[in-house]
Amino acid sequence: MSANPTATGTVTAEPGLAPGGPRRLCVFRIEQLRLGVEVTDVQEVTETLSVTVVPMSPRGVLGVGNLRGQLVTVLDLPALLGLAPDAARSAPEAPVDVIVRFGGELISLPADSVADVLDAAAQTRSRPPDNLTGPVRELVRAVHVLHADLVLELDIPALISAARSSSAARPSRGSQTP
Amino acid sequence: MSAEGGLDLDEVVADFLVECHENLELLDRELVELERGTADRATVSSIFRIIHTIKGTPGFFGFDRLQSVTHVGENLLSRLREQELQPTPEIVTALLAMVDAVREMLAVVESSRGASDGEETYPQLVARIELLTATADVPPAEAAVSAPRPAAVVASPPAVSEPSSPAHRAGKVTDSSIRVDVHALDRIVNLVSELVLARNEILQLAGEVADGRLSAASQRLDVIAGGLQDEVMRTRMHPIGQLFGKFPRVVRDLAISCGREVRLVTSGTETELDRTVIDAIRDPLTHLIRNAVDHGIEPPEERSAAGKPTEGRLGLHAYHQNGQVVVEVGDDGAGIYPSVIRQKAVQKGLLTPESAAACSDEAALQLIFLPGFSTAVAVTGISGRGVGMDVVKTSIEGVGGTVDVLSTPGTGTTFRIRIPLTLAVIPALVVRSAGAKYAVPTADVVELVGVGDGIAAAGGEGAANDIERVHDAEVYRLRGELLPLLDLSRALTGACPRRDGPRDILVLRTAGRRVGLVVDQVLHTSEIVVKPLGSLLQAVPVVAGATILGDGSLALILDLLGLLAEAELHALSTDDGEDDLTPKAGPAAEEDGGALLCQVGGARLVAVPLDATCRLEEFPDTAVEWADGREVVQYRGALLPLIRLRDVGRLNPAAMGGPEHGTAAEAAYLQVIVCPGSEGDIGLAVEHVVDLVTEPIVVLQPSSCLGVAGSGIVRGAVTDVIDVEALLELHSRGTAQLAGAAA
Repeated sequence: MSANPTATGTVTAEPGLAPGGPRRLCVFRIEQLRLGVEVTDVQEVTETLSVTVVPMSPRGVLGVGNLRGQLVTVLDLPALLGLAPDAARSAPEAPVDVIVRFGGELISLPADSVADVLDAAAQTRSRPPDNLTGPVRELVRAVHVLHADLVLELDIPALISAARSSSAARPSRGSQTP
Repeated sequence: MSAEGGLDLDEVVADFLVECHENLELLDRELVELERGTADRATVSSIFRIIHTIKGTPGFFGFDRLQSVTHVGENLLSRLREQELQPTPEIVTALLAMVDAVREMLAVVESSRGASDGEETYPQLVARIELLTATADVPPAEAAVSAPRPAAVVASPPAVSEPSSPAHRAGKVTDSSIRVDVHALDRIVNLVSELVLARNEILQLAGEVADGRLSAASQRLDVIAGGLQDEVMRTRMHPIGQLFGKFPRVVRDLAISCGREVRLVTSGTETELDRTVIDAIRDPLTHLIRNAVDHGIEPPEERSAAGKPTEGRLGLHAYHQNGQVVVEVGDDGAGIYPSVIRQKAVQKGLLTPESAAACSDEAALQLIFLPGFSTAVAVTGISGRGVGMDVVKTSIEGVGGTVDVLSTPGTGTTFRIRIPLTLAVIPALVVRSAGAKYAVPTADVVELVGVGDGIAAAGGEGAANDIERVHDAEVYRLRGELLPLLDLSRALTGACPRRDGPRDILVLRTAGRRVGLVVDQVLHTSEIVVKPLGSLLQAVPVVAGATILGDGSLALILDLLGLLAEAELHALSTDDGEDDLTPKAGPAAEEDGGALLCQVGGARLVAVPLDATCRLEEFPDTAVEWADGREVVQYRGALLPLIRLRDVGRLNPAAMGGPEHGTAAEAAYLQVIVCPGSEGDIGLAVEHVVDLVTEPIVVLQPSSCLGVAGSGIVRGAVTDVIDVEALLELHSRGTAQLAGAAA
């Protein structure tokens, strides 16, 4: 799942890559992945909200949280990114919720930790490598080479629509849901 | 003058349109009054002024046609005002036609954004009005004296120096009110709702911290936020009279076109309702009124044959009851014949002949709300109701209301609509199921039943106090009826419900059927602010929204219709119409009577008539405090005096065997039946509310004790029937006698 550094292609004039000056990315970590969203999309980073599970919600949605009286839809990022649940993994030390605004609603991206806000110049930005496949491919807008790390820039609208179309968990009558 | 006038003109035109529309509604009403002969001179003057205003303003914009039509109307009205003419039906009809013409022209003005008032000049209407104005010159004898002036003089513009000129009148209104955008108001309401939630959290925190200054400040916040909420909610409230105001015209026009004579009587027009609710009931109410005139009230000749006055009476009454608004639409027409309804239902295949024969008259009436039930063709002349009644029912239920029908064949029909005051805040029960909290709107809950707590039901007649199974289906025997059960945690997650320990059943009545929703525990009631879920969760069928509770946690608001559909319970009732009917008939019967059967002082049973009570509450024993020598509990910001029913109606406590406190079975909680009284509520404390009995209780032996109406046998056990009124009276006179009765 990790992006292959050798696959980072050329920088400019790639289709699907908006040109432009430096972007500022809010970078956070889930397991080994470093993910980024544009800071202009981010409302705030909070300590993890307690999540109320909504039955029969799409699998990509964990539930809803209460952010100072406003409802926040909490996404299940590992599920959306296709990360296999790792039972051995220890609980993150400083989990956070990255709250992004999308079409007048608040969406929470729960993360293991928040890393930094980084300036991402156009030079560091490239198309997702061709051998990046699976659900992640659709959700990653670009890959940034920042310092020694690779940061996957998430495509928020794609993330939302993936969450929406993820199949709903329905109770099967009379038996335990798998 | 036209569109090139630009933005400013747009605004002026918009203001003009709003004002005109308001005035035209008033005009409709006043013209109908005029026709009835109930109008006084002031009304005629008011009509005149309105027309004058409407005529004056278009001249400024260059709406010539609008001006010329209103001009002839004004002439006619000026003669009416001078009493040179008497208002005849022809005159009123012509004036109403003019009002309609004005509406049409205003619609053109609106759609052309103020560019034009259309091409139509209404020559016929103008001629008719001019003719009516001129007939005054060949006046009937009585008018002759007061109408000496020739038509030419009458047609001259009215006195500009009219003492209470339109400008003067408008000034009064605008001084005391401003127009506010509804959306702005909605945002304020939302913010205040947030504030109230924040206040709840602060109050809870202040309670935990126990800092004197903090709690004083939070108390103040509490009062201010509460006051603010009340005021803001009030700004959204409109008197229902605003809605009723358009009906005189509707009724008049309908009555004329159907050949009926109808008098519309309204009351309770000052009853206030949230604007959104008013909007939601406008169409259903119009529909009911149309039906009443069209099908309910008979033609005059039929009425006189039946010995009724030829003029039918259509009543429109609004009032508050139990925190809801009730609107009644009643007529004194032919009524609905249950036999006709039954026959029709069988014809339509909605009922089998057997179940039709078995269903009560009252249940038969409710059939008119079934989709696909229209008596229009077959029974015109007898009743003919039912056209689109299912739509009426659906739209009223859509705003959390209910509608039912009462009818006496031959003497009339009344539709009773109950609607919540507001949609922004709804009362709900907060329940716990599988560790999560859910809110269930109380409007859907008929009653609560506790099961599996090991307390055997008293009387025992077929009331095994536990969940039973019929093959795979879980059921509960509720007063001899099988109540299908739905376990909330299983319905939501598919998890196996736990089977041990006490659980609560919410008996729901929704979409015309009765279902028991099994939850782990009913926690409390709460006024909740409904928050819609985000777009990602809109498709979830079982949840209608979420609310934030006092402790800051979230509770999902259950969408019961969605939940039942999801659980495939709908299959239960659609096959057999009879199943559809029994639940509807049941609660209606309960409302008229019934009593709460309670256990007090050990094994003694007492019955408290249901109509004297308003709700049940539970308090821990420790919540009981003393005030002025009486036991009280703090309840909703006031003191609720308690009367322990075990002390009522007992001549000799010693004979009952020792102290009742301290027995092992003594609950740590008091069940309190709250009864409304003229001098405030009182609480009747009992150990345990056993059940709700619906059958009438026959008093076999009158009582000599204060507060007891008598004794009868309920389910095989002797039961004292409590006289709540006497207790309320005793309470207002002081507790001396009560204490005497107890000692």
